[in-house]
Amino acid sequence: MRGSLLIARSELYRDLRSRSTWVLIVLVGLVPLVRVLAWRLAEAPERLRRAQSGASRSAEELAGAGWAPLVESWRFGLVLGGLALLIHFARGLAGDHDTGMARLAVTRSVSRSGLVMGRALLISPYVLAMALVTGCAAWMSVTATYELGDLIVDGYTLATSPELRSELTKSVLVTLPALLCLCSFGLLVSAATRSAVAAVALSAAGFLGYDLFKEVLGGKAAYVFASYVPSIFDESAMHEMVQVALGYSDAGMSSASMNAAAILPWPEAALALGFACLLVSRKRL
Amino acid sequence: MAAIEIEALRKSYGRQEVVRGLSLRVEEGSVYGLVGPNGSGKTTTLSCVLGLMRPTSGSVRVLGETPNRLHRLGGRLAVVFDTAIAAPQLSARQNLRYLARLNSGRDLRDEDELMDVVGLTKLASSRAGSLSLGQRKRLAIAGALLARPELLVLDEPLSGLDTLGVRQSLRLFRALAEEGVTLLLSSHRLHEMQEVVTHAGVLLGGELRVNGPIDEVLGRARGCYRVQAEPLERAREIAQRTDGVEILASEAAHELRLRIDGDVAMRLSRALIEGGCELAALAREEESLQNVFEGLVDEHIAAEAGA
Repeated sequence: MRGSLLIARSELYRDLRSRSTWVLIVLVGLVPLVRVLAWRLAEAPERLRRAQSGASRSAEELAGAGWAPLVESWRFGLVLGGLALLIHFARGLAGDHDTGMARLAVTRSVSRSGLVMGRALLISPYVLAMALVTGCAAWMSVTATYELGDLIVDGYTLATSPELRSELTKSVLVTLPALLCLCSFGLLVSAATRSAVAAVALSAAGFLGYDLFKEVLGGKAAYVFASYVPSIFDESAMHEMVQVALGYSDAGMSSASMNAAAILPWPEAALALGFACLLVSRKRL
Repeated sequence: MAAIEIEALRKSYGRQEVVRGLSLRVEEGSVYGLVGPNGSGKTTTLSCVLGLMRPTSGSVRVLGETPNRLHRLGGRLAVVFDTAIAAPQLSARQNLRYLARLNSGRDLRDEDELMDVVGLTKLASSRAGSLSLGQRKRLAIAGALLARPELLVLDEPLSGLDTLGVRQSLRLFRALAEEGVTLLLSSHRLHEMQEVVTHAGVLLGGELRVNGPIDEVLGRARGCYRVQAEPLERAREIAQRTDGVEILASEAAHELRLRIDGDVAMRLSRALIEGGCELAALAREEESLQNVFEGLVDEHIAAEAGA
């Protein structure tokens, strides 16, 4: 355990002092802003049409117009932030194998499994930080141009502001375990490969490939953590939340799916980390 | 007490046996030089000793621990690898701080003092990735010394260093040895190694051909001569007939390598001339690691050709 803590501390030191980390944080933070701008631009023709027909939206309807861009831009941030974290964790161990750093660590004070577990200790804080950065960026971008009041469509109140806030919180919370598992998957790939380039390529291809072909699995996809990660062909809780915020759905993700998203990624992450430890223990460093 | 104990170590890659039953002891406080040509099994041996790969058979103890438990030594062991630096994107000083976090809890040396020791004070703020190979090697040595190790293993510590860097490193190794640090150096820079090592081992074809205190190892070159004469076959016949002369294996086709007892050299030269040979040279070999090594390589090649 001590070795894992030493690795976690030293990796945190290295990441915080690396310029690329800060560039990545800024870029991931910019994603929600860009998505909100794109949303705003996409609304322009609709606004023009309404202005021309003289049927502008009521003040109440405008009051809740910010929820959809907020959730959508946060979701976008989580998609790219998740991918960035996957690549970061995939690059870690394999990159240290490339540079010889892994050899230095195991001949000093860290066991081979400590190399994996030390990095695993950083997964939760990194995922939380990424969710916070993208969430804050989305919230700031949206509140600058929209309001986050009750969601009213055609005079009907579909959801009140506290209800939407609670639904959004729930959606984000059930998305986080899947993101944690995604990072563990990155570590597993990192442990299985010998070069950083191969690890990054394999992990990204694996995740994006699954995203493309998950429909083939049908109902079985519900047992795979990656189904709950915000992605391009998204079926995550955040995607369902966008439908709620748009007024297209009033239920969001089913409670069975919510439970699966909240529980399933944990054992899968533990399994990935266990395999990663096993692989590193047998790997030639 | 042995800092490193290796017993009958074997390592194979598929059918190819790279290390063949190697046994050696590195005594505490000694400076052991493991030398051998490329592909002789030096790096594989070190990798097995340091737990970086599993040996096929045999046993290894490093400061009393097995290779897969070296992390329990908690910084008593430090290694300088051929190419390794911690993080190219960090500065030289940050690299030391990064390594300090891996050794937390130990009595660490001051990083400025270490930078000074390896001559990198002026480059402390430069990115490690922008340093030259020699500078990176010195940074790696500084990192290795951070936790005041009892045993320091250095893989090719002198490669990539300029003359001044080599001098500084040798001075540093001597100073460390005086402090009581045990050093295991793997290198093919034989001349420089001879200046610092107290014990040496020569690896050839995965076998330890010579192993022991440096005086004993150098003794193998004692009484060795190289003879250049025409015709060489006639010279060989005469040498064979002369008492106190042993013909050693030699890779060179134009000369003989002989071990000659005491004052027999004069008698041999006379016999060669009287026997009708044109004697171009009869030169005594210097007692150096280089000559011991070359002699062993000659024997190895001759043995392989014979096989």
